[in-house]
Amino acid sequence: MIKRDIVVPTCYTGLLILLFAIPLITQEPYTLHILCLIGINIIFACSINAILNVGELNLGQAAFMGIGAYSSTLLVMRLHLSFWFALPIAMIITAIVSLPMGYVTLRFKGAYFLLFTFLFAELVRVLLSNFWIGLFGGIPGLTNIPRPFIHIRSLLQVNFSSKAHFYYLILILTLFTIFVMQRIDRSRIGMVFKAISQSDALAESIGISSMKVKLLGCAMGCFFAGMAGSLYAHFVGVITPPDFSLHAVLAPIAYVVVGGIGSVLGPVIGTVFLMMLSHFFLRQFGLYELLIYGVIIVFIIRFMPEGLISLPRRLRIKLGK
Amino acid sequence: MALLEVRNLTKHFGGLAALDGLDFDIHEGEILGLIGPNGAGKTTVFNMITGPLRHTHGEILFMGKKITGLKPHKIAGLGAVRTFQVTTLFGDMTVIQNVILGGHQKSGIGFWGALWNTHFTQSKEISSRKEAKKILEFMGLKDQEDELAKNLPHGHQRRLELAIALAAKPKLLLMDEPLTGMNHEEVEDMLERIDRIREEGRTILLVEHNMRAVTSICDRIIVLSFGKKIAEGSPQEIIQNEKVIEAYLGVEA
Repeated sequence: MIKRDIVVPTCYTGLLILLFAIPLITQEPYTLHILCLIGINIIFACSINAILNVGELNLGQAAFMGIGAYSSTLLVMRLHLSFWFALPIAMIITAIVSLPMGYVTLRFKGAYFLLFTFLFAELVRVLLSNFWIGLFGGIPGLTNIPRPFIHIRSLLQVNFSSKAHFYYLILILTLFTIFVMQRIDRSRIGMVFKAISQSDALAESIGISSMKVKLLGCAMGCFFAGMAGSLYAHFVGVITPPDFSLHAVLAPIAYVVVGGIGSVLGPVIGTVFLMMLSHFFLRQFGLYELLIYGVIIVFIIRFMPEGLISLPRRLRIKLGK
Repeated sequence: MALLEVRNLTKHFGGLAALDGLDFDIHEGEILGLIGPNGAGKTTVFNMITGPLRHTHGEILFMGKKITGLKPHKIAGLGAVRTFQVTTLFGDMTVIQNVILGGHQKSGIGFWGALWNTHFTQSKEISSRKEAKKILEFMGLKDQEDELAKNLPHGHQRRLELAIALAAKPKLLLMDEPLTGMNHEEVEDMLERIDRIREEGRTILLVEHNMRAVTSICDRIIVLSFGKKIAEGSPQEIIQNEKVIEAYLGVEA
């Protein structure tokens, strides 16, 4: 439809312009800080969705974000690498570390997979808290993590001392992540992922190695979890083992479920909606914040099990009547 | 050299011998029927040829290569493709997507090519789609190519399963009770298609309970009972074989 071909891209363009204009509209540090955290969580939620797409929910996903965070921090603080190298290297490290874990755990399904990934998360947390304390900083973690900087003589000098700088960096990387996820979803890769999640027995019978595909999905998801971790470390400036425990993965799982499992934009919408809800609107309810938040999540899952992303379709059906 | 050679195949489940020293060949271009009462070991043989079940003793050779102990997807990649007894499809994907996936492994589309959407990948996608359409036409599903697989009527779903298997370019097609749940017309239709598949040069191993169908389409039949081969021969020989009749006591012919 011609109208659709004009309206939808125009909306997206308008949205993009708005997103890039936000630091010009508001300078309030709290707002920009939350928006940065939303961006990091969007990347993380997308990484959870990536593994969900090959059939399983990884409870240890936050541990991979932690691996990305600690790798990036140590690369900058110990090896004195620039953030711009530390970020991609940390992402690659996270993806590579995920392969042996995936190889062991992806042979299992359902409750067993959940159990093993949970154990992995705990293993990482215990390791980071109690071993090589000189390197990892133990339970207090690592502090004074340096911010990124761009020093191109006389052309560009960005110190990332203001939240706005981080905002643009995170915005660009979040858009990049969504773009890559979209590209994969529409490609043959996405098709094979969906097939494996629907029937890996059938896939095996036509020559597709379900283990290889699941490992690919795992590595991809953890690649972006590493990105979220690295950004988190250099943005917040402090990382401790409990930041990346099992507990830390629960809220993002809620974002993915509420937004819509399996779609590319589901996790994005879920994260934005729930985080904005809790950080901007529910603040005023003080003690009742968590209660109302929980009720809203239950409400959405009850009446829209496919997630918020199914809202336009549902409205269209209802209005069509 | 036969296409598939089964030598002294034995499978123990604990103390029970589900298969005991089974020997048979499948010759290229034939339709071989594998029959036997329930519990005879047909499913065990089937699952050992196609990969998921490990052997206790013996070996299986496919085109001269040992396949015992190989993973299922490797065996399928060599050209031995199976269909399932219970309807198994990629339910939430369209009919044509199902068939395209069937041909995926042989399509030559790799991860990086797909990610960057190279010209090579795009041309492979186009040819994959064309081939899928050809197979759908052959199986009489052309008009439903954009339907979700789970929404098809049962008989069409069975045809789709066969289409997916065909897309994987099998040299040996192993069919596990493909006629289950079909009415008379659907059975006739399926048998005709299986015959045409054979005419295209493929070999077929057919495990079935429908006796009339087996005797009408198979070139040779092997009969199992309690894990042992009790008879082997043409359909005419088999239905008159005393041991076979004895094993099937009470089952209609």
